Amino acid sequence: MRPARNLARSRLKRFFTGLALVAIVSALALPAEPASAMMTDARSSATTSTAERSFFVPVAESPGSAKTIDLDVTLYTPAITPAPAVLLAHGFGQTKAALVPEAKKLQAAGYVVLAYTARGFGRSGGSIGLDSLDGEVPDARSLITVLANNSAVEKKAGDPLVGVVGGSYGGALALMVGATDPRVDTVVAAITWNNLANALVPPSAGTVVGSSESPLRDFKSGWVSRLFGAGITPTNPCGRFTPQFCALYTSLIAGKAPSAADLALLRNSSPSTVLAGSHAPTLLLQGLQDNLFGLDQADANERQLTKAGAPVQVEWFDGGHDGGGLTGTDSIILSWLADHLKVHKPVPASFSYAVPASATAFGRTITAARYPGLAGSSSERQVSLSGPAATIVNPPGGEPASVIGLPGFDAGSPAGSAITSLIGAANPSAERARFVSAPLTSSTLLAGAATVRLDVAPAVGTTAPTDALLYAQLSVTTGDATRVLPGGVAPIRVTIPPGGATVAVRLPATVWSFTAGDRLALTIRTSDSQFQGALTPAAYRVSLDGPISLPGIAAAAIDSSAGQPSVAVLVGIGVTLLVALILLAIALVLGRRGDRTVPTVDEIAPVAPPSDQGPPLQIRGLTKRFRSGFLAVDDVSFTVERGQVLGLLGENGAGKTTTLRMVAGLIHPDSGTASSFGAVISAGSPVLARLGCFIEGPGFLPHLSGRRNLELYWAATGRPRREALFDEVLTVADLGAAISKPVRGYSQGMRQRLAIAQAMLGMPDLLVLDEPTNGLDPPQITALRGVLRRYAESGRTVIVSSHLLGEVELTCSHVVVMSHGRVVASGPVGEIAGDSSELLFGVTDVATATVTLRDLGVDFADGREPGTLRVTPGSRSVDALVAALVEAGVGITGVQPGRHLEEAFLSLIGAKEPSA
Amino acid sequence: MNPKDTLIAGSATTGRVRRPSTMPFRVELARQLSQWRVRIVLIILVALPIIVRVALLIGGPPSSNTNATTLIDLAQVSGGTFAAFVIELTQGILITLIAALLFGDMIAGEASRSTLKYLLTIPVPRLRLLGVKVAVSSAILLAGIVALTVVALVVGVVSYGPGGIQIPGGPLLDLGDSIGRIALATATGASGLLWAAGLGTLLTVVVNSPLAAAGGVVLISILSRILDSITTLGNVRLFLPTHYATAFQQFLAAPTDLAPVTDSILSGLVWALVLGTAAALWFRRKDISG
Repeated sequence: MRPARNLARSRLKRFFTGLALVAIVSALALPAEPASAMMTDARSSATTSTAERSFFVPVAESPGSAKTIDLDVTLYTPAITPAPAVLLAHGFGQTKAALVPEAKKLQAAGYVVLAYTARGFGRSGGSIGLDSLDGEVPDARSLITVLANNSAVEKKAGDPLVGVVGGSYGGALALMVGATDPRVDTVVAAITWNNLANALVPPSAGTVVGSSESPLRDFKSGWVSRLFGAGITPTNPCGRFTPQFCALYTSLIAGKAPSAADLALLRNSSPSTVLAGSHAPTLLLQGLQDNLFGLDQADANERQLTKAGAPVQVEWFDGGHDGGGLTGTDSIILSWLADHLKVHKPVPASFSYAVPASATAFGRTITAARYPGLAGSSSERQVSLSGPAATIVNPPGGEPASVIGLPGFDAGSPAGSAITSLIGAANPSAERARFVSAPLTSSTLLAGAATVRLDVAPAVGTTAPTDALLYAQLSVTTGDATRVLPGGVAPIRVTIPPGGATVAVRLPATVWSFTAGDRLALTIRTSDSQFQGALTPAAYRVSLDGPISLPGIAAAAIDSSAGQPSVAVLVGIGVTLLVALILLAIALVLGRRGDRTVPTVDEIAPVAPPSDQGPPLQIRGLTKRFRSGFLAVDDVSFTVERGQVLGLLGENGAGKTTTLRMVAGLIHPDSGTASSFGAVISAGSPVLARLGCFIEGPGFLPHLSGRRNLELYWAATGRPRREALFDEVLTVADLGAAISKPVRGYSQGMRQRLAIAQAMLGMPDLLVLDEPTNGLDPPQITALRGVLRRYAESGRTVIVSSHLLGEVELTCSHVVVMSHGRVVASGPVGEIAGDSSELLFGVTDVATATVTLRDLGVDFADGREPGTLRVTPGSRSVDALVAALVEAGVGITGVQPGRHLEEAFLSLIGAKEPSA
Repeated sequence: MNPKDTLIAGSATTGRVRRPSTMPFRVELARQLSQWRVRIVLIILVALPIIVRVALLIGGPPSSNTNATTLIDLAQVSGGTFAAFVIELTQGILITLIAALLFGDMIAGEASRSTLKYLLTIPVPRLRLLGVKVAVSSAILLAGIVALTVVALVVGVVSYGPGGIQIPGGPLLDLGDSIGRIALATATGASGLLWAAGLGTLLTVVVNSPLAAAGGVVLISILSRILDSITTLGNVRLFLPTHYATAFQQFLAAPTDLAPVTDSILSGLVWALVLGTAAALWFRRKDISG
């Protein structure tokens, strides 16, 4: 019928909908992949009226010149205007194309962005002037004028709100523009220099104690040649550099010391010359992994800005030219601009610095109350190093130069450290002296520039002062692995007297977290691949003079969120556990509710005898249609009373087994009820404890013995062992010694008997057997018949389903006949089968026999088969009937008791053929 | 008098049949442990560290490599590292397979042996049967995993000395710290099996063949790993059940990132909850034919 199928389908639909809801709700608790420091770009895709326009801006080639060059710019306009503006400057060797992601983020955050290609790069005209005050800086001022004239830019009393943001090459430009143009409201300068002379041709990191000479310099050939290479073109070996810079570089790379004019040229490209006039709030971001522009450059910038009275904030982050550039700084820059360009919040004095990840700890960020400079703020930690005085040599030409790192190469990553250690394995040991500390007893945080004293003397006796060039570098050994500390190598170039001198060395400022057990090592080398080095061969005797001082910075706050689980996930776990507990509680409550059996018995009588509880089985209107549409059981109703042995008859497919499965609670009926002893039966109803079932064959654990199977089965009921009545049940099974053998060796009949015995465990009040005689031989069938009879006589009830009609007739007291899912007859056996005194005569002449029998006055009727007659002798004896028939000349082929039940059955189910 | 009558008479006064606790935990445990299949699985888990030790013995010490970056190179350095190595070997296919075998057989195995209907007509309430079977399978699985870890530690310490875990490219941890880490790694690995337990429970009530149920769990595990390796799927991979399968390695390395560990626990709990609830709902309403 339609409703049943729709009901099943709607149940399935509800089930899956509920499932989907649970899945969706719980999936919301899972966080998305951790976002990088970049803010989400959800807003950028939603804007509809943003604009992007590329054009060229003509600027004067040099101050006062009428000749112009064109700068390639792109203007980004946000959705909401007027808005504050940001001038974006790119790094060396790049063009405005490298600024596109940053520009789009700023545009999405609601700023007008002007990204441009500096002169000498890309499609812009002119020559590279290294941010000179005569070239790039006036260019930037012209571009700010372009912004000022743009109506989309927010103005405050005619003054445009403009911020300048740049990294490296663009960072110095930002600082210089910010200092020379009063229209600039804030400056963000990342990984950039203060004094280009000191950055590219650094002065010696070591000074002879007691000497007051001006420091000698060494040339950072590694990095500078790489930068120069970014500017060369196929047609011009000087690239697009100005002739002055080309000449400067040529002389430096040839090994000449820089002249005063050279240094002046470099200083002209440095913020150091103009920062005294700066007023705009400035953010200085400097990377720890930076051998080109180290933390000392930002320190110099900070000092000059503070002296000029400009509010400045310094931040050290774990990145830089040798560690991924500017990645990770986007959110810092965006929040700075929000605080100091859109509004004008006061710049906090706090200073935060990143601690790089080490072998045993994650990276973290520490905030200090104020910026202390490179000497640290808390007391310095002295670590004593030990190592023999060593003689180290500088080979002729300075080659092979020791390789510690490569420009731009992140030596912190696993691949980077593997490669640098591979290359570094070839470093000649004669070029280095190593001084190692004992394993540190407690954890230490180095933040700033470490200082140490060395004794340096020429190895070969001389009479004149010598020019000593050495390179100092720190490294840390954790377990087996050695890691070079970020910050790079410090060049030491000093003039030492013939007897040697003590040199006070200031190593590059860096940050590192040492754990207990780490060993700190100071290595002094005579050459370094990233520096120019000395060409003349030399040998020095180097030894330590005292411990190394490690400055630290007192921490006000530590943000160690890396490596910690996110709060959302922890909340999600809590919620899920809570939901699971609630579901468990619901399941338990539902289970308890099913425990109620007869709710009103105690209202009728305080103690009611069991017989008042209802018949052992009462089925009303039971219906089941399978999913295939087949109607297996159609409105079946019957009742079984105590003490009855009920036979359930029907052909194959009549619905007997399905009905019995519903009685056992294995199948849910579509409609109707089955109740036992007054309690409705459903899956797991407690009243099923009073039923013993044997349905559709035996089921045992094949590897266990028959006895063990029964024992485990009874143990599963949870009832005490003495209630099982094992001995009686095993007598029924009649297996003998085989009871202790594994079930997999049993024959079908043995399994059948054991299963029936299992059904009888505990002597249940209602025994339900589905085809119990399958596979049993006749003596066993007879024995079973006796067992069932006695079972019923003891006051219990038995239901047997079978299609062995003879058996049913002998065993059962009542019968229910089913066909095609319906009950076609029910009642006592005699009623269904007919009079048991009937006889079936096989005769040769039916007509004559009929006449004779009629004369005798006995009841008779035609038999099913031709040539047979059914006769009820009544008061006549059988032999008298036979004699009369023979006398009448009728041949008798056979006399047998009428197989009444079979005939009744066949007529009831309407079979056309005789049953097999 | 029939003892049952006493029971019923007693119930008549209260209106409630006090049902005894059917299918106790120990009975189901006895039934499961009586199967050779389960015994062999437990024996394999316990014997595996010994097998690995013998294999390393036959293979000889590793070639001296100063840049040992993987646990296989370091496995023979100390007892703790050996145990960590064994755990790394077994997490993944082996214990997923064992979980699939144990959980896939629960109901489907009974159905295929025709014993399910007899258990249900005792009557054991459906949810109770499912619950006890899940509890027993979980207990056996956890016992096996813990035994594996304990035996690995013992074999390691006996063979290679009482040192802790050697971090590749890092320090040698001490034994007490390492034992704690190994225990946490084992627990995290077990949480990575929650989804397999849930899926096994669902499949065991839906299909009638224990092989199909166990095979289904293994197939889904492999499919999930395949999809997980397609990195262009991006954040979709977070929903794959085996995405956090390597979270246990956090405890065997330094520094320890707890984020993947908690993600793994949450993912496992959610999958187990969803699949387990589906299994319970399905089993409650199912028509039993086995």
